[in-house]
Amino acid sequence: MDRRRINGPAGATQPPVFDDVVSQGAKTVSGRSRMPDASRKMYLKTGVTPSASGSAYLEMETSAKPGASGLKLSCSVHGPRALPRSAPFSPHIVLSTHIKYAPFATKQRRGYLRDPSERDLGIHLEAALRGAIIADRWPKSGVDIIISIVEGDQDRETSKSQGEEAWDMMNALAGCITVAAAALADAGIDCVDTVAGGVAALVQDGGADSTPTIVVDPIPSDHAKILAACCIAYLPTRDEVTNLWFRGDLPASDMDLYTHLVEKGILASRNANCVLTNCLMETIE
Amino acid sequence: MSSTNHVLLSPAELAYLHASLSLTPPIRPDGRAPTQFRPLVAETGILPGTNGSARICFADGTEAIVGVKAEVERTVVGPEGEGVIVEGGEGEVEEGGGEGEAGWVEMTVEIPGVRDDDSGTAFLAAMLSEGLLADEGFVRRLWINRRFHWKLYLDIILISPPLSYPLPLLSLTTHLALLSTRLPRLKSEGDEDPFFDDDWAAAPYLFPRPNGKSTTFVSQTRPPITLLVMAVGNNIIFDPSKEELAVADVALAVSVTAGSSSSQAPSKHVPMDTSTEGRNLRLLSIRTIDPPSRLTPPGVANAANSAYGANAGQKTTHEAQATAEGEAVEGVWRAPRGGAKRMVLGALVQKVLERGGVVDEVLDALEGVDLG
Amino acid sequence: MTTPTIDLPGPIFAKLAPHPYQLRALSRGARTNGRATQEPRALSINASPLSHAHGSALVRLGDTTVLCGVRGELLPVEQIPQFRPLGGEEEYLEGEYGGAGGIGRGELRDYDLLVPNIELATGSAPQFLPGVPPTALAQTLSTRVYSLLHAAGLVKAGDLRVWYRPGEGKKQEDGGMEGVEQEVAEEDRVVAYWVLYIDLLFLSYDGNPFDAAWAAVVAALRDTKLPVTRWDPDREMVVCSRAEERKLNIKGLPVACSAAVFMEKEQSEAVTVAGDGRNWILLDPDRLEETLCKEMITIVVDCSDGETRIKSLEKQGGTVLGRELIRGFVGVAEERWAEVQMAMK
Repeated sequence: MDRRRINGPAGATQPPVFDDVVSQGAKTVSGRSRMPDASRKMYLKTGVTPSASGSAYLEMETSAKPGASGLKLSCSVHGPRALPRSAPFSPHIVLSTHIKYAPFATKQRRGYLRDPSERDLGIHLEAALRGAIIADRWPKSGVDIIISIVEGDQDRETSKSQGEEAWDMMNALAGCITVAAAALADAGIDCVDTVAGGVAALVQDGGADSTPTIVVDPIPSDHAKILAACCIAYLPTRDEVTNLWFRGDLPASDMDLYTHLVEKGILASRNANCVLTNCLMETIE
Repeated sequence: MSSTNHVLLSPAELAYLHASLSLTPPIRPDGRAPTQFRPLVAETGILPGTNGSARICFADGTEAIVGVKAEVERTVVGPEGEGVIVEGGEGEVEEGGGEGEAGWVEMTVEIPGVRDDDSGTAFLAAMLSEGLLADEGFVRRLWINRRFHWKLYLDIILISPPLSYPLPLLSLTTHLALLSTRLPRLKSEGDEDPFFDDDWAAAPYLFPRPNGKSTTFVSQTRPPITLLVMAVGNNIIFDPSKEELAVADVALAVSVTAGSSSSQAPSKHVPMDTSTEGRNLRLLSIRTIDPPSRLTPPGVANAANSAYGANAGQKTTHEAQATAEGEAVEGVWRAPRGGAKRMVLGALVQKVLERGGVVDEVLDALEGVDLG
Repeated sequence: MTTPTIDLPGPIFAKLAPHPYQLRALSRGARTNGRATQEPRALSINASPLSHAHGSALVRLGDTTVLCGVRGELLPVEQIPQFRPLGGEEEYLEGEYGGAGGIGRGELRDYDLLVPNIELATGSAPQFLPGVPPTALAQTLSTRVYSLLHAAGLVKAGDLRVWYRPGEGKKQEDGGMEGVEQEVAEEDRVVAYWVLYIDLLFLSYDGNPFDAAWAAVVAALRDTKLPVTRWDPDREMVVCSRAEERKLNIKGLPVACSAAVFMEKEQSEAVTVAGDGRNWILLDPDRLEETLCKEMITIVVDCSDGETRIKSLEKQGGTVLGRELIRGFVGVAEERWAEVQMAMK
């Protein structure tokens, strides 16, 4: 128990349970309203935390459905600054990434301590950004990149969340990569290119026997079943991938399916990159 | 994080290693072929108190043990789900065909000298469990009846210091431990409180053995294995040692499994010649490993080194900067910058999934381990 | 003999010697941030920005941005260690309207039904980096919000009770089967309580956290809609309706108003005696001003029922603010109340 916070009642509290059970038993699929290759609209703004070296805020378009939330991220970058005297010498900038869901970000209330999935996201983000930052320009210094997931990409109405967290994590990671890139640019930290994140998924909408299709920027609740998904951090002008995270179940004999999925992931991150570049251009003007 | 442990190699050594690994064929420091694994010693059933266990020792001295414990747990029928059960009635859920939940498997990874809330450990655990859970058939095996299920605890412990990136070792050990895992035979029927046969010899394996001697075609799923592959230049190198990883351009962890897909659709058009040519592999997960090469100290080219008098005077700093950031100089180490080309990533994955390739070799070798 | 003068650009002067910089600006009649001493920053309140919380608000006070989410969770009475079931409904009602010491207020505090927490470590300012336990400031703020929530009586216990009324709805169909004893025992009772988790996240920190946090708490509570509940005797659990929601009855509109006292002499110099040198009361201090001032005052007023009620008064450090000044400050707080009330709409 954390004595430094207010913990509330000793007994365990339960999140509300709703009565319209039967209709919720089967996952209601609303279907996708966008074209397979279209990403959701994204709002990106830099300079939201004036006291930080750089900061950015990202918001994904909320779908028309009531109760569904779009991803909302706030990122602040502190540094580059001198490493503490006790730290060993580093010829490069020491990157530390921190991703935390706000307590009210998801259907279930989150605690204040980071759970393993949040740490895992942090490592993914670190890998994605380390490839983009020109790290040897700041020896002996460190930079902190902190992202608060103010609201996750979730549908409040679907009570069956089984297995969807993993796909939600991919969407969150893609957003984190994009927002962190904007904040890094705002902080004036040199990068080889603007990195942006994108997700593509292989989905099956019409029952178990239908042909799966590949969509860009998927919302898990839009689809009956997600067979595989990949999240990609991509540098467009160098045509390079700094982070690739794939998860799913694909037959190895079908390399094409995998290649297509990655191509679409790159497309998604290109879409995100357009927004990012526009946002940075606006700031300059 | 364990992958970013500093490697004590000088820029000159790094440059030499990188150059020799970029040759065709690459020359590895320990003389292995690019696809060759380090020799290893494996045994199973080393922990009598567990449902399954394994120990693997790599030739470089790293060693891991994995214990699998299973406990019967009451299935928390989500209050929402209750209505569904009532609706469904008897017989709707076929025997052993209930749905599994990711929460039924709990995995902990312990690495000496690393705090247990370290992000790197969380990353390793997430990677290992990701492969396991991506296979939907796996959690379904833990289903006992509609009210109860097995809860599987996988404790993965590295008992040697992490001399190299421990992922392949941990993955192989986990694979073996799961292969040797047996769950007591169920004696009760239907949805009553489960009770089990106390005859351990009768306990079925969690991953059923191939029938008889037909080892050529294995129809059952196997636990996944996660392989570490890296690329240097155009060469693809399997199971890199710590030193090799320090000069990697890109490193990937790829989880694959063998066996028929439990999810029906995408595997439908798989050609039927699988039975003759090795296994029917499935790709479960891929993660980019941040290569420690990005953290290595860069070398200084002669042209930029004032000690060699090349650029004496005021303009040094500017030109040195330009050289340092400009084109690579032959034989001078520079930490890789930017990401990996698409083609390289594609080639890496392709190489792993190759039929009759490394995965088959590794799986064959692991099947040869006596499960006691 | 002339003292050498160095011409420093403003920002560098401010970094090197913040106190003289501020002093010079104040002598000229304005603060370094361009505001007059009694001029607060603009406050904007945005209700319901979140979809997973039952109530939420985003408050911007200059460059201080705080997000508050209120989430209700159910606490069954069996989970309360020292639960005292109270007789009839009358007793509850009496507590609710019977003044501050009544039983209604007692439930909130005894069962700990309000759980406010403040998170500053979101990189909201360079000194608040994550990965460390909550700072002293974050702990103090959480505790202040917690005690003010209870003291101000904003939330009524009645709103948080979940009743089981067996008489309602079912017309004693199974009466014959169940036997008479049970019929007698089944009277209206409280089966659970809503616990309100009030989480505050600072997205950007630029001084005066308490005013911003409190405004966010009040705005979020006013926005909170809890689902309508009923007790399901078969499943022995509380079930909520997805369609019906009920707003919390929030009593009054307490508004916090903070100020800091800036002394002419720098704090480090010996003991400051009251009346020693000039001083300024800076309303709604920003991050720089907070670091320069030791004496702080926070007053919480509520003017919603026509007359001004002081809900809380806190003062730390220093000896400048006496009876007269505090009395005058109440007037400032009243003006602030009107501004905040406008922003709440």
